[in-house]
Amino acid sequence: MLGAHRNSQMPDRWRRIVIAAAAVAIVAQLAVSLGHLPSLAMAGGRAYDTKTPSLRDGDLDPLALYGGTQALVLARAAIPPGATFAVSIGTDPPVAEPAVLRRIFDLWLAPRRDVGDPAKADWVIAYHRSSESVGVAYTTETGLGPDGNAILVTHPAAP
Amino acid sequence: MNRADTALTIYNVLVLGVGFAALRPLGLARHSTRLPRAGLAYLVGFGTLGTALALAAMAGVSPTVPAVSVIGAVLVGACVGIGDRSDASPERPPLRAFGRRGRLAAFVGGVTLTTAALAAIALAAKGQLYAGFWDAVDFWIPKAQAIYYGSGIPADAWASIKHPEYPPLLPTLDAAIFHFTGGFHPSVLPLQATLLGIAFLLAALSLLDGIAPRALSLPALALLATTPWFWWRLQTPTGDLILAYFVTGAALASVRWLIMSERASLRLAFGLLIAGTLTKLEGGFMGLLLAVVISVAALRLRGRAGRAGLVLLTTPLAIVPWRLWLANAGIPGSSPDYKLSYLGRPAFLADHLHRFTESIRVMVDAPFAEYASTTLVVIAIAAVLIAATRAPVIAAAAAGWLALAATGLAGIYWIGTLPISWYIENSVSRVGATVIITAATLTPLLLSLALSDTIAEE
Repeated sequence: MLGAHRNSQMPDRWRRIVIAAAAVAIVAQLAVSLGHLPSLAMAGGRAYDTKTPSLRDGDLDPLALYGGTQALVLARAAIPPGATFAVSIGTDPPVAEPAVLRRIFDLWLAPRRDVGDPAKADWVIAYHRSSESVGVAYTTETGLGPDGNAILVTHPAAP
Repeated sequence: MNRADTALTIYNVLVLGVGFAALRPLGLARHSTRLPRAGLAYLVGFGTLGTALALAAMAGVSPTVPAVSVIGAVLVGACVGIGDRSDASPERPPLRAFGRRGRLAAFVGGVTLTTAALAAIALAAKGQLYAGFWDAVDFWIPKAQAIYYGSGIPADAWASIKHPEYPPLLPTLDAAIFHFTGGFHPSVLPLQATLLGIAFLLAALSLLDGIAPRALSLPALALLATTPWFWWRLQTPTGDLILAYFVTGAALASVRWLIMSERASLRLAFGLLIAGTLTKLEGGFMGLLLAVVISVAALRLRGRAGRAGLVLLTTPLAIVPWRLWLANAGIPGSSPDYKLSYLGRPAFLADHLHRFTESIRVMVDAPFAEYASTTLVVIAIAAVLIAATRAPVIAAAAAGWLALAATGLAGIYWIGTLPISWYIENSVSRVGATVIITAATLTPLLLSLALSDTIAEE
């Protein structure tokens, strides 16, 4: 079956060339893959020897790549699941990538919905800024560790 | 074993069960040896269950544990009901070549592949790198999260996430995983992605069995598995590699059909292309190119009998339900990153020609940046050239698709709305990976065609 589509019988000389080429390919493939294998095996071995985190820590710890996880945990505890929120990021000290940080809060706080505008949110996360500087009236302030606060916004009653 | 581990085990058994059941109506129930067949079953199960759950989610059905269980049971029942095909792929003995040295090469390749796979599992099981892939955090996981917290696919939440036009197969399956584990737990996703990647490698071995001796297939797959960018990305919870698995599987199956005339392989290619179409927008485009190339080759090789391959041309239509859902939700169906209408504007294309040429230059240069990819690409090119002397139509089909897919991607960057540097930094290596992975897995097949005089059945 394998040879059914072939054009013609292979001349001996060409057959030897093809066999040699295939042999070179096999040797090169094995040599290169064996060359990489030790570093990959060591990465796997190191991971195997590492203590497996709890499911919750495993979910949270990788986000430290983008910002302090304490603020994420405390914000999730402070803001009820059905509430809306906004993240107001200040410059004390400056945050390298505010949009990225906002995305991480969105990810961790879901199903709480980020409405963007602090004036329209139930809660505002004042990050690297004082709660007063956000510019909304609020009643409750909850500490989120050294990175900021979560404040419960007071919305004026509808006329 | 904690609750999440138990739940994930049950979920994976379900995926595997659906896959094994689906192999029967495909005609692949006795195909290959057990372990590679299990890999093929997992890949097929992932695609089948993913397609069914995505369609159900579009209809408003959330991938909860009861829903996934019922849909899985219905799929298994339907597949078992259809039963084995009369034209099923027969159980073929492994091919042999190169004598004892060939067996040694296969053994070393197999050990390397196994070691790389176990190391990848050990790393992914810790789940600590899921956030290292920005696209995962930026939109793939948030989409799964939206489905998990919503009912069906919540239109408002979906529209607020980047790339809402991407079809929902992967986010729906990830949402199902969250339901099984009882909460939003993104750290379990890397292990799932790695299991799928290993299943893909086994599936590729399965599809090469009967055509290529393992002395050729195992070293080639070992090289792919240990190529650093492939190995590190195995655990990526994004759609890029998953698209590559589906498209590559379809390419292998359809070329296998060209060679062996097994209808089972054609049916498999059809199913995998549908799953690919529902994974990423590029799935439809790459699938269509593959369908065109295979159809032309089939007509050239078989004449009227090759018309069966035309069925592959219909696979991009799998996107229609998703387009209807998007239209109903008022969400644009095309990517904001490029405008297809620009293809009809010669002046625009002429002004932006440098984007096309720069993209091609980067695609040609990129594989030569490190020696594993260089080895992989050089051997693939040599295999195409050698195979062309013995099986010119099949070699041309393989080379044609690889060239068309790469050129097509460059064409998308040509009409892109973002700076070309963005595509080069963020897109080429991810989306272009499909082309390299397909080339790597086609290599042993092409070499086998050239060596068909010297390969025998055991």
